Amino acid sequence: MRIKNGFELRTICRENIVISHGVDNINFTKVISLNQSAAYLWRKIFKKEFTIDDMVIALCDEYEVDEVTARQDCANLLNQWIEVGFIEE
Amino acid sequence: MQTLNLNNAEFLPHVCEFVNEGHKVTILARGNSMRPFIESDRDEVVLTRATQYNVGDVVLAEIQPGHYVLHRIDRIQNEHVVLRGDGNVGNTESCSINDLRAVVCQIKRKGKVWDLQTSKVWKCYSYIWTRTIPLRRLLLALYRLLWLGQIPDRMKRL
Repeated sequence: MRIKNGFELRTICRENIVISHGVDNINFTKVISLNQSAAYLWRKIFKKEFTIDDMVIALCDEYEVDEVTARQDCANLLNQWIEVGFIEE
Repeated sequence: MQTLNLNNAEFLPHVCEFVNEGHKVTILARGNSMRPFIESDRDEVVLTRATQYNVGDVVLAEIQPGHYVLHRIDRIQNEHVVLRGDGNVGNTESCSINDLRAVVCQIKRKGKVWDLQTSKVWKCYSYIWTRTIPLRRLLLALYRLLWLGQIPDRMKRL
């Protein structure tokens, strides 16, 4: 899977905000902000094919977290991203 | 879901950047200075790049470094622009035409989209409202009292 074309992470006012960059209209009344670790994972997998294993490895490399917890967190995050339409197979 | 409160001085330069890149950018209206048509925290405005600005346009202007207003153009004299919010009576702002960053092309009001270039209602409202400045204080007071149900403190004490 990969992050769909047209979504871009920008830091605006110290917030990590995902904007829909490909479309004509950027709607700032409905934006999704990511916390620091989610933004880190986004940057790691952006424009790449990835699996949940890639996310878990990246998270464990950067943060002091055990693999089970990291996998659970990554699965939750990935589900949220799929739900809002950021991810394509 | 949570609401992000972004500082205008930091947020709006990013908005201007996207507008300059050719995007239309939708933001939530804040403040009461464009009443009665645009209501704070309810209505959304769509900003776009303008090739030229005209009297009557609602624009995003950087009137001082980092200080932005979304107001209507009242007058243009050469490079000098005078702005006035629809909800303001005596207050105007002055800036250079180069300080105008974007023009409002649409207003999303109570779920309905108003295209400012084509909407006859908007044009009619603009024509009438910009000619009611002497009566504006009274009209805005009636709007707050009758439409929004906001009773002034001094009336509450009676």
